[in-house]
Amino acid sequence: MPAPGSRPPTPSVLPFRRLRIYAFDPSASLDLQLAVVNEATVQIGGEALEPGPIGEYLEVVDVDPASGGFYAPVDLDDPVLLVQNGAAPSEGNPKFHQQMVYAVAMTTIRNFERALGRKVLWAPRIDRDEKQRYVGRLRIYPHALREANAYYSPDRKALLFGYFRASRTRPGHNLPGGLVFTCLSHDVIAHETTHAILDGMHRRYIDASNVDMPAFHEGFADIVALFQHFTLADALRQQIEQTRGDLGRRSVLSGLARQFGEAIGHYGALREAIDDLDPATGLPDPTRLAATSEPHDRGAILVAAVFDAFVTIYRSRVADLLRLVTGDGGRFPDRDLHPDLVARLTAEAVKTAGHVLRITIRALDYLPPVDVTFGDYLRALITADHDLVADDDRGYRIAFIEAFRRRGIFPKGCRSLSIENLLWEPLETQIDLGDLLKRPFGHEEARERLFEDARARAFRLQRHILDNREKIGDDAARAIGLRLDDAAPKTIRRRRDDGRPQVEVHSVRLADRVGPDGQREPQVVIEIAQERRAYRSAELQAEMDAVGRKPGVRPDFVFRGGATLIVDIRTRRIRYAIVKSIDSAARLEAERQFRFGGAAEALGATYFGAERQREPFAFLHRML
Amino acid sequence: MAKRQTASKPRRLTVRMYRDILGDCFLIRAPKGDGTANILIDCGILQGMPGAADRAVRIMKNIEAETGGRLDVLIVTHEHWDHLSGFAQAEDVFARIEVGELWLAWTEDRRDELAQTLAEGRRRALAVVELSHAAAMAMADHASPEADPEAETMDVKPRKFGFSELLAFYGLSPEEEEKEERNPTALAATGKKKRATTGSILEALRAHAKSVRYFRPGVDPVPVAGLDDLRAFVLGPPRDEAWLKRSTPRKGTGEVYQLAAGGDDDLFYLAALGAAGLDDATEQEPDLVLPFGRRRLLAFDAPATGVDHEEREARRRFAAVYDRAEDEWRRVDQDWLLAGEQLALKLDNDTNNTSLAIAFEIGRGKDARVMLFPGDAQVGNWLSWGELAWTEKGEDGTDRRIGIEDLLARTVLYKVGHHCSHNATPRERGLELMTSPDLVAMVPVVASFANDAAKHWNMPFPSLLARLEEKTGRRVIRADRSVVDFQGIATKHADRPAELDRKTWDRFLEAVREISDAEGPLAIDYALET
Repeated sequence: MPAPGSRPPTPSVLPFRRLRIYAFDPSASLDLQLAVVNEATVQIGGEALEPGPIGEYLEVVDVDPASGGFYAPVDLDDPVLLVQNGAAPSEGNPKFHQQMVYAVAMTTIRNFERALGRKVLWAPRIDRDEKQRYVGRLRIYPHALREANAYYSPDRKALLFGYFRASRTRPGHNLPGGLVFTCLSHDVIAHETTHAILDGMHRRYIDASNVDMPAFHEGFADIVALFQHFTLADALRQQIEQTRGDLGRRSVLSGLARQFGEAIGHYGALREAIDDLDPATGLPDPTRLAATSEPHDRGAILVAAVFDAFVTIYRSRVADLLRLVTGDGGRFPDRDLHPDLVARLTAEAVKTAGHVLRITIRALDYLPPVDVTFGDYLRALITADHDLVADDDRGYRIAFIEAFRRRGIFPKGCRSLSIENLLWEPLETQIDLGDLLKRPFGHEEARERLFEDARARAFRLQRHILDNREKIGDDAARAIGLRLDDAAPKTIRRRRDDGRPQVEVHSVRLADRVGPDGQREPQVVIEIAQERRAYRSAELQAEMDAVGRKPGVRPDFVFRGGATLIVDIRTRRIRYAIVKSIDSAARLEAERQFRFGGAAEALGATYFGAERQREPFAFLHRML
Repeated sequence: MAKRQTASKPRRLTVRMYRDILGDCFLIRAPKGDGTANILIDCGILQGMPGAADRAVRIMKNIEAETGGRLDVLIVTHEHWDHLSGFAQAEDVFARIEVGELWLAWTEDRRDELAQTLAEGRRRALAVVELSHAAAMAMADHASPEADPEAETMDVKPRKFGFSELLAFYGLSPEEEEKEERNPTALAATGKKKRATTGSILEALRAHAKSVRYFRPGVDPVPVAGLDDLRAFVLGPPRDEAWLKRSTPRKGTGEVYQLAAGGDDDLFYLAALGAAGLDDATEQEPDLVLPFGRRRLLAFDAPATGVDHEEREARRRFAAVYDRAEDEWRRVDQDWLLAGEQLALKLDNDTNNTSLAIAFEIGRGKDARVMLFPGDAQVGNWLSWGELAWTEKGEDGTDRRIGIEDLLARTVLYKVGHHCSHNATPRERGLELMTSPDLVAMVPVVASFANDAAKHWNMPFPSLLARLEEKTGRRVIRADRSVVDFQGIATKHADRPAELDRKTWDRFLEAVREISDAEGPLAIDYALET
């Protein structure tokens, strides 16, 4: 008997599906200004759905373990719901909750697929014998927790949302002690879905090996949630009306997770994309980054930088319109706007937000496989955009560099902040990739086939590198951050069969993107990495590097290194190698300092070290 | 029984740290007339340490012998197992010891309104942790097999809640208790009585002592055991709730979240634990504790009859996904219990912050030396000391202001707080102010036990330990090192650049002494000239 939910995807009769959601969250319906725009309708693919909803990418399972039961699944293919764009927004109807998490998560997935030029795959499940198992659907539990928390569980490949009672003393717009559902906040859903997608692309990013890594996961998830909001045209139009076009001002759109924030006793949204500016200079404080280590606070600086770039681009795009109205391209009107102007500004803002969202997502392919920093992300942004859009006539790249620079985000090892210097370096000596590219990248339809194909290619490439390590040579291996020679530190993980250094090929994925001039940029992104046992002290590390193993001495953490290789399919050349060396002593020392020397470690880490590894986001997101 | 004169007439004040335990037990003996005044600060061993009860009996016997069965002052810094357990584990021995004054923080004073509020909060939080733990245990019977330590896999992901370890701080962890009692001698020693908890021990101590004194920070210096040249400056716990709740070094809005979590907002979570009777408010409308009321919820245990087609269909659909055998790993039955950990953690931090923190001044005047015993005070407690000041008449008749900077600058012995964890010794407002060249630190930690695979606690915290070594010129007395170790350290480092000279080392080596009983090493004495 085939398990329910595993039927092959049938060609759907629906060309698309429209579903109603809260544009913000339920609290906005109690705000006179926002109530009219709080109900939005999103348009997503028309895949056939089983009750749940359960589709190709997602399965919503509405179990509520704390209450000892579950809620009946919504059937979105029910004609009654089909003709009215799904259930009406409501806090009291669990079926709407299921519909909303599905709709927003699918919107997020679609945004990623458009930007990356390929289908989204979830992180595989690693089973006991280290085999990677395909996970077809991300699970979504809309009512799994009873607390002010929501998180992505890498262990379960699932999103868990909580519900809780609003603060009795400072409830904001909420009823004191009233219920708040995190699964009804557009921002929270988009944020958590982004965690899952990011984990699917870079599965080592959940291991915090430097102060930027958890912050990057958080900040990036906020960026996606934020700009996805800007694609909801009705809400945006209303806000442009209200701010008279100036999106650089604080508005409902620049805040994230409003109800959540108010319910736990803040006055406003949970986080703001606009950072505090120095009143004297009107600029953000570039030293704040160095003084901030809490992941959300640090991530907020990244969000602020991207938002700043967005505002700069938007302003330059609407300068001509402003000149027509105020006679000054930099000045927004101080009176209410003409509806036509509102419409034009909205169109520009939606377009800009779409561009920024795509640029920020596309950069993910240009990041190192491990140990990413904000500086790396800036370089990835610039390189990715440079590859696709040769002529930066709108100054997008400058806007990003400027916004990052103002917040003290600099890449390491760059001579200057010019665009040439920020591009990743091309690889000097090419490495033979075997038959990786000989077989054409078929445009597989089924995601499982895509996954299996990528696995097979990764396996063949791994074999190829291991079998040809002499031919590749030590220098070429080091150039991509690896040590394949037998003289490598003995702590580098070895193969069981021949005892020589092991290499993992994390992923081989196609990025088939289309630039603004219609030109295609087909590339293959390869992530290669190695593991190394690492120890608390440099002395012990040196000793273990020499002897390998010693009875009774267990490693304190796993150190990783390797490279992301960007291969141009047409020329079959490795265009960039984005490297984090496995034998970099400086990087190892920095990670040791971060893990054992930091002053900002929470007590939770002291007591719950083990559980924290299993659910990294559960602790990170709680009460935040 | 040991007699008073067994302790040879001391000219020096000695501080004895009991060894090889993750827990605090310090005996101070100060010369008083022809005899000594005996002051004991805490006596506890973290729950789960093998052979704890055995060790506690040895320690208590040594205390009895050393003091002649009389403690002038017994100071209990805060209500945690690793500061209290010894009084229960060595109950029979302790019963023979006479206790003059019991010193407690104002937070233990039942007449104090704020203390009552705190105690109530603690009681409730503790109940939550116990309930969560019980619920987790009930559900976790089909837990994953233990990770194989020899396995090649590097990602170890044990399925584990932290409740048990937190309950261990209150003597309430059944698992940790079991670990101890695998040791048969310990079992014989305790004779298996009613399970002691931190609350019950404190209660017994109150009854045992002749008098109980509660201290607030900033009171006039208190002569210890009637000694004029040994006075206690009470630093904490602070009276301000904001300081009390501040546990981590993090800046920003941390307090706001913690207070928001305090209130009564945890009730919703509690209601799910079935904690009826814990609080009146949970006995409200049963319907309100369900997010959508009774109507929408389909209970797991289905009624056999009276189910309509729609519900049957919903049940079938749900079970087909959630109960699918090969997707067992994706279930989320227990995740909601993790919320209890947050509460538990807060409780633990708050309790540490209620530590009675004392600076003992030896002698008088602006050069008098100070011994700092902060209990397990965390950041908030420490920071609050900055608000304190005392005024004393100097020898020349003018008023002299004594602030915390002054006391820390004169500190020559620092009992490192919370077993040298990262958040119990602030940098700028703490260690960096201890500038005396004679500074010595005592660290009640057993690194091998704290860092072991099951616990993985980062104690001692490396950067803090390194700084302590620097500040004291390597005179860090650890509960898991012996005096002999210092010989080697002295030989290796004396007279080197930026190290202590040989003379200072010799003086130090002369002041430390290994104390053993019939079974082996038991304590380390450090003597200070009076």
